[in-house]
Amino acid sequence: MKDPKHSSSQFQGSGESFSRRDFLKGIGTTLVASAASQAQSVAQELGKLNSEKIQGPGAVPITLKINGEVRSLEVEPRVTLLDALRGQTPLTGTKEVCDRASCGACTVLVDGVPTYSCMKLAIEAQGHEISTVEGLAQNGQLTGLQKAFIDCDGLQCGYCTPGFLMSLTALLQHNPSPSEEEIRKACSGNLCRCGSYPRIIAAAKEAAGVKTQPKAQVLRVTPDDVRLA
Amino acid sequence: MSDWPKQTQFVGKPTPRIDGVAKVTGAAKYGSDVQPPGWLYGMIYRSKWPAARIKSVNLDKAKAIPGIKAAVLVREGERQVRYYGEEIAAVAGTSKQACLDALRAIDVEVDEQMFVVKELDAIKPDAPKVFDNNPNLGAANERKNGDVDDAFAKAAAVAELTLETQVQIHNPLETHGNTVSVENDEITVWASTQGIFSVRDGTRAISMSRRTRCG
Repeated sequence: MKDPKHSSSQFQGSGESFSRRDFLKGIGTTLVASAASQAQSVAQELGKLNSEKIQGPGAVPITLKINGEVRSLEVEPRVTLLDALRGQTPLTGTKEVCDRASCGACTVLVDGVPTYSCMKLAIEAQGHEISTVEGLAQNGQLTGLQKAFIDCDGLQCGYCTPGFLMSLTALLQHNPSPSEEEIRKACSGNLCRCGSYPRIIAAAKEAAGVKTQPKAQVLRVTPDDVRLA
Repeated sequence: MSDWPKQTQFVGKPTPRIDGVAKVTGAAKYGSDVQPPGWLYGMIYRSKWPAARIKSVNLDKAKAIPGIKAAVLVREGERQVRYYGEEIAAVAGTSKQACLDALRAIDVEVDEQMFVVKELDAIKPDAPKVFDNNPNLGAANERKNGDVDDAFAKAAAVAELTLETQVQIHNPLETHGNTVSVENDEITVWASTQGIFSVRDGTRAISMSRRTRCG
């Protein structure tokens, strides 16, 4: 599994197994060399990949493990994980805003890695642990981050909030004491149009155990407060 | 000031917002989260042309897409389109994908027309007219306060300026819209809006006019 700390991109677009896409990306670099060194031709590799079972175009049965619970759905292969969550499960916490990997409102965790669910096909998400905002609180107990969001008032309309919570939850899982730079980088893929950024950063700091200013004192917002990483 | 209570209950004290828990747990239901079972998805076919004469719209192929239950025109007959995105037709189906397929299956016979995108181009005398009976440049909205001539006469300096600003759009993340349930005589609207009373009154006006037309 990719170590998120060393991954060049925080966002995953394809499945973990070696896929046709991975192969084509690697052509011309080390993959061809290693294929050759294993005495396997490029043609043989492609032949193996092309023998994958073709699914669809109509709806096919899939199972997704979401917040620890296995759900059986029927989706067309082109249905995104976002659409499957919002349309075929009661889990509408994950929000659709841009549907084009520009805003982060659809952020979920796939095997603990923040992922734009609008850019992941539901059928590709099989076999992975999917976490949504609904899965954060356990037995009615909010996480420290969720409490901090309320304490620091890190939200207004709340539409970006699930996405930010997932990105920051992943950060704190890997890095319990992040610097402000690391916090900003972790949610640099999440947009907020209400302008709650200063309070979101404060909430993340509070969840990490850093004392922050009360809201009344964060009134003079500087460009630094709202810039993304 | 003498009426100001010595001890306030909420004002001046940290008060968690009442919808905080709902929003951080994903439990908060926005308009687009309301999806009663069995409801159809709707999508609107919008004009790709900023200015055009629509001669005809063919919905036959759209209606034949599996899962599509209805396809309707906004208006029958030939019509003018005046902006990119203007509503032309709508489809309803059992899935988002069916609706997307249906939109792609709509055939339009169209005469594209000239258009401009900058305001200063739009007020030129040879600019294509948006409306037949009105000039592109609307009436000026002049505001005066007090005695302007007198103030100018007394001013140390007078500057005349032409200031332009681009259109500003409030563009929140939440996709605006309304989810509406019509059951017998009861209309329920889940609206993403700050003007809930305007939505209520507007909905009543629409439903009254519908009733009037139906006799």
